[in-house]
Amino acid sequence: MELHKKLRIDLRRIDREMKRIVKYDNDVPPGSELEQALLQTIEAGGKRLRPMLVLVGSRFGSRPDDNRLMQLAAAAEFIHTASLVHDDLIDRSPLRRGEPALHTRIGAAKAVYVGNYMSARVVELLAQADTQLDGERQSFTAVATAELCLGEYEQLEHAYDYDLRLDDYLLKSRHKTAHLMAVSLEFGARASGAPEEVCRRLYQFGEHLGLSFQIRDDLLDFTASAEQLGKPAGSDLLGGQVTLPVLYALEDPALAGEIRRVGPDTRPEEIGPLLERIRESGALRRAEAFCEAELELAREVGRSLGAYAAHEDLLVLADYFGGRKY
Amino acid sequence: MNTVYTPYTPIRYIVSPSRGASMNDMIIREALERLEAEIDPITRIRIEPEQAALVEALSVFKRCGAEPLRLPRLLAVYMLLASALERHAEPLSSDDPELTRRILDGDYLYSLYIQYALKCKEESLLRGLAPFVKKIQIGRALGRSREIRLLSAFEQVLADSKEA
Repeated sequence: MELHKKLRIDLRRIDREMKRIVKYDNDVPPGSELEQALLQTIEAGGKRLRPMLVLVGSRFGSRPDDNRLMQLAAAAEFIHTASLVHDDLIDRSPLRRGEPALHTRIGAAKAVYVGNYMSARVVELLAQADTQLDGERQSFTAVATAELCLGEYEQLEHAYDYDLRLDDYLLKSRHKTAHLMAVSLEFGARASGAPEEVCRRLYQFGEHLGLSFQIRDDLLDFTASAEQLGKPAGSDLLGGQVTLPVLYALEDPALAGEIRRVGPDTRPEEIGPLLERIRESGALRRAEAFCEAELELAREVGRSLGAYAAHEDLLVLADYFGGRKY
Repeated sequence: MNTVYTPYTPIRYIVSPSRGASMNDMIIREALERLEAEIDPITRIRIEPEQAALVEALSVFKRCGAEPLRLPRLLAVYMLLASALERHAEPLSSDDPELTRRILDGDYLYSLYIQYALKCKEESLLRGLAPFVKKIQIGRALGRSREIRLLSAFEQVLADSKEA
């Protein structure tokens, strides 16, 4: 069964809300290239994990799943989508989910502004919100994605850095991926009036879940097909991203020599045999074990919230993240 | 407002800390020091504002009745947002070798603008500026040549909050 069904979440409502956020903005001219780009980006879909996390988080409070929460869930996806639009440009990636990325269709500058609009629109929506209901500081904090940017800076800083330490990798992954997931859960919980301690534990749960998500993504660079990934397998390695499987593979002196030869000028066809050797090295198994350990830590936090019926949803999330194939 | 990328160079003071420094100079220095403390070194972002622009901003803030103690933080918030907008200003092209840094710097500075405004308890300023910032992005996305002047947006928001 699909994740949203297990969590009893209607994804169509989230998509409708995202479109409403655009269409109800009187400052966006109807039929303009901007409106078209926004609606097409929304229609291109996605896993919608962050909005689901907002809604699951909201179930720990006294005002779960109401219309306002749905708007906040859509807002979380806006923030994530804006970051993806910019990421595709930063990585010069021509494809997003196997389809042409936005910047290839409308140009670099306009794609930057579409992403910026999405972030700015979310801030405007939060600014219009009932401050008594949401607690304005927490709401705005959810939009402040400086951590996400820091993750990108760290990734740039350490491109092709084969002396990267495990701690640096974990810090980058927490900034780049885990933070927004953790904030989404916390954001939903706060907005629905959950107690402070619960919000704090949900953030912890989201951090472990997000880290496992990133490690799973790293593994998929070696295990998934180009069709599943929407980009060629080995793209991370080729792009200089020193991921957890690569860090483990670097511990093997013979493999390390080969990996260290991968640089900005390496051609995609040159790394096929190396990918195969990394797959056979045991590095993936170790990364898989790390990923599972993070999920177990997440489950522990989930079980500590056993007094809430919604803790079952946290366990569903952990199981789904553990079994993710692409 | 120029944001330049220079490896490991701290924010450069545009006003020397001499005994004859004016009140404006001291406020500007404090605002820059605050920014230096906020910007993560890994970003290697250096903000090089033009003094005339900052003096003009201060004059607007004072005209709107901003308390003296509030001026450095208002100026720091203004510099962060102005720098974020400047980093994403046209021309932006896929061929630009600086494109990656410009996107990242603009995103980081915009996020920091929100975080810093919250830290300084400037939520109402953040609320008031939100529609202006959004309209600037819409104007850019639609290729409009005339852009809302950021300082005018600050003036309107500060004046409105004074009246309220």
